[in-house]
Amino acid sequence: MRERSELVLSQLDQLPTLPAVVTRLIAATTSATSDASEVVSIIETDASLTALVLRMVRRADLGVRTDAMTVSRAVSVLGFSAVRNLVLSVRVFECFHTPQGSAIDVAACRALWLHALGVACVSELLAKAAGQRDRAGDAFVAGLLHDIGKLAFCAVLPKAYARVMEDTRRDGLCVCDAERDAFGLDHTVAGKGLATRWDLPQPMIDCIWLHHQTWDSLPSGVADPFLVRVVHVADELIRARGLGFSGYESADATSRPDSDPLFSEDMIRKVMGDFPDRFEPLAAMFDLAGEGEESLSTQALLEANRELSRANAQLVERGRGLESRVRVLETLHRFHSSLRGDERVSDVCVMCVNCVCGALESDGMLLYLGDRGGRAVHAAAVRPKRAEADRLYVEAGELGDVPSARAGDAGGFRRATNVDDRIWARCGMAQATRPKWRLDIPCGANMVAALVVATDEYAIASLGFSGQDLAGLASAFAASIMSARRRVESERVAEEVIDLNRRLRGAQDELLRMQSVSMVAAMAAGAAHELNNPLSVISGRAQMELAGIDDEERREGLETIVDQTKRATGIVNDLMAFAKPNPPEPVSVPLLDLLEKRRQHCQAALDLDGERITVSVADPEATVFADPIHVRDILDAVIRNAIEAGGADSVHVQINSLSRQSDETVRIVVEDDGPGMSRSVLARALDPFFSHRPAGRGRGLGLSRAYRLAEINHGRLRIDSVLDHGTKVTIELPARP
Amino acid sequence: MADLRTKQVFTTGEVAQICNVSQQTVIRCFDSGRLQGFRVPGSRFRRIPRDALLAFMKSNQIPLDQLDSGRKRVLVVDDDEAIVEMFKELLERDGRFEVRTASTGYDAGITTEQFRPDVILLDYKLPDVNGNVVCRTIRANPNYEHMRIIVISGVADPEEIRDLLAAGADEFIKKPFDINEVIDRVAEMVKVA
Repeated sequence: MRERSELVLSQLDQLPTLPAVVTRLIAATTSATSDASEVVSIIETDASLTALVLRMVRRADLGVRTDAMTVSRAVSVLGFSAVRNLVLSVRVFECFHTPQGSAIDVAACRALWLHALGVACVSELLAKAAGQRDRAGDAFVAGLLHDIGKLAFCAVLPKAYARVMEDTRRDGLCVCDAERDAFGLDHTVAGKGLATRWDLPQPMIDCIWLHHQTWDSLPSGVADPFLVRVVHVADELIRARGLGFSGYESADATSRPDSDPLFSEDMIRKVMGDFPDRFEPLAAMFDLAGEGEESLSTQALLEANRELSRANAQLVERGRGLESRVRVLETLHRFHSSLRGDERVSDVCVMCVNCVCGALESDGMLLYLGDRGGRAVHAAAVRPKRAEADRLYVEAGELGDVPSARAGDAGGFRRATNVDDRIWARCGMAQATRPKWRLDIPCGANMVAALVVATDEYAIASLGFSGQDLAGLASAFAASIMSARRRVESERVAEEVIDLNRRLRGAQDELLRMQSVSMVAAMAAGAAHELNNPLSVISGRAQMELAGIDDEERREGLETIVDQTKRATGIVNDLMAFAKPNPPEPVSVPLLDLLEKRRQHCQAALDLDGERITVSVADPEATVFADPIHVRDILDAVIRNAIEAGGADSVHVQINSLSRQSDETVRIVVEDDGPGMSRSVLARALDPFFSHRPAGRGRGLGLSRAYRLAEINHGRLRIDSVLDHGTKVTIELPARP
Repeated sequence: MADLRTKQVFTTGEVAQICNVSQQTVIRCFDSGRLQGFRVPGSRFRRIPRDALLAFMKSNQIPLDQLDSGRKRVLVVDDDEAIVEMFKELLERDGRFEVRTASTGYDAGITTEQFRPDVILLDYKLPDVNGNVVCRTIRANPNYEHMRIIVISGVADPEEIRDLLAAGADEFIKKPFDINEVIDRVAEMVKVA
């Protein structure tokens, strides 16, 4: 045993000395006459130490500008003792740090170091708590170095010591015993030897050697018993805390530390309370996972958790609101996607009711306050069990109270107190046992429709639509209804426009025709007038010649001249009469009589055989109010045209005087079953001087003149004809003045 | 003596010759006022205008054939030369008429004053003025009261015809016409006159 211990001791001698800076620092901090400036200067001599100190300042995050930091400033910022403690810890640690060693070694070192650091902090705190503030620095250093022996073993005999540590942990032995078994000496002795070699102050050496002794078993020769007691208690406390490797991994660790009268329970409690704040920054410097960090992170976690739950609650709330909105939007989407864009108003009403009643699964109806200033009501009734909806048109007068708009109606379902049951019944729905609710559908300031459903309050609430949502839905319905209505109106307008266009075209054509006729007439009159004079001269001279001639032949010739001039005169007269017919002198003309006369006249004049012209009169008492001569001329012209244009043996003419078109006009229809007119011929039929007859062309004035005469008697003449299907001439004349 | 048909003013000597009485008788009738006339201003000479002489001769039943040929005087007014020529020839050939012509309303006015026609054949459309204006103008003059106006026109508008008759025309003939009819009508007119 003795040889082993001596061997170990000799090996211990080979440990490197503490760096000079550390010795000096220790000397400076433990001597009574040291001050900050000395420490500062010591630090400044070592570049890495300076860097360390500055790093600490930055880490401390005190909000201090670090670019112009010096050690002395750092010291003043961080505190003298903090800097000293840090520096010492770092340097001593580095002494025993064996990066080349195995993981176990490194872990062991770290564990040991954690313990040492913990004890150092507690020692410092204890010293302060016990009222010896000026010894606090010493206490820190003492605590830091108290287990230096273990570190020595670690550095020199790492594998052996690792085994020792393992045995201790496993078997629950006291580490000192294990050490003695393994090496022949324990860490206190080894530490004492090492400290002596390093020339540490005596109190330090005492601490290292005696820190396991209780307060009442200390030898009397100890220079500074207070320090030893502090370190002892600190060691116990740290062991109790289970920080790092303390050597007594047994049930003892949980027992209360030996009560030292110097340190009361309260003191100890306070010290342990302050411990994390002191320990953690230091531990952080060495990147040591300390238990202090655990509490910090726990706290942070708790805080975060609180925040999260708060945010969560808010989100849930929002989520609920959004859900309801989503449902409304879905409903709207369904509604809109089923719109095709060409529905009637009643179709849209049905869709609206379907939408809402489908969701509520109840009977409902939509009352559309129709176009005539709300006097008429469309109703669409829906029973959700059936596939379709019923549509009705209900006069508002039949019903009782029709829901009307009140100013300031907000959205949402209201109890419908003024919906008459008659409307309900009229829509074919069973007597509603459930209460009726009403949703107004306004468009701007006007009420467009009202939706009425019979359901429970519960069903409405379970729909989950807010008042605002329902208002949105209602306005969507209103928009659809209004747009359907406008579409219908615009269709109607379009139809009217087309009709108007057509009539305008017709009127234009008429006007054009009349203008052309009167132009031709004026021209004809002018020409005719000019012709009169030459004709007079020709006729007169011929007559004068006749007076003195006896020769038959010559007489014949001259008589021919006279006849032809008479004929020419006839043409001229026709033209002038056409151009400017005599103004009508209307009287009440009995039609039957007139028609009969014309029939006979035409029959004779055109030399027809058989009953080619027939007359039928619906009302024998019928009279027209017009110039009788004009009426005669019209009828003659039309009949002649029918017979002559059609050919002498293929036409039957029928004159019908139909029952009065209205009380205002009488209609005379002349129909023939002749060859009819093609479209191009029909277009020109009323033109003056136009004749389509291949042979025996007349003057072409007959129909044209008839047209004019009808016009100046406030009547109308119209020709309808289809090729091969005959011709129909319709003459309308006023019945009364 | 051929002048007598156109002469407008006569001396007492000429009157005596025409009426086949002595000059003294004429002077006595003049002085007593039974024969209208006037004295040449600045002298004592007596003058008798034509219509005064005619009136005198008529009232005393003195035959007029020296003064008057017995032919009726017709004035034809038309701007168309051919028409005018024809009428002139027609009427003169008949033998009962003496014809003068005018082609404008203005000419018509002047010739009426000079020629004192018994019948005026008036075309409605004249270059310078309308037929009915001519009618009215002639009717406005009491000296022309005995004249007959026949309007000849191609226009057959009854309204216009009414207007013409209201303006003072006595007859209306349409162009073109039967010449015999025209002559008969003219003759009828002057017989009444």
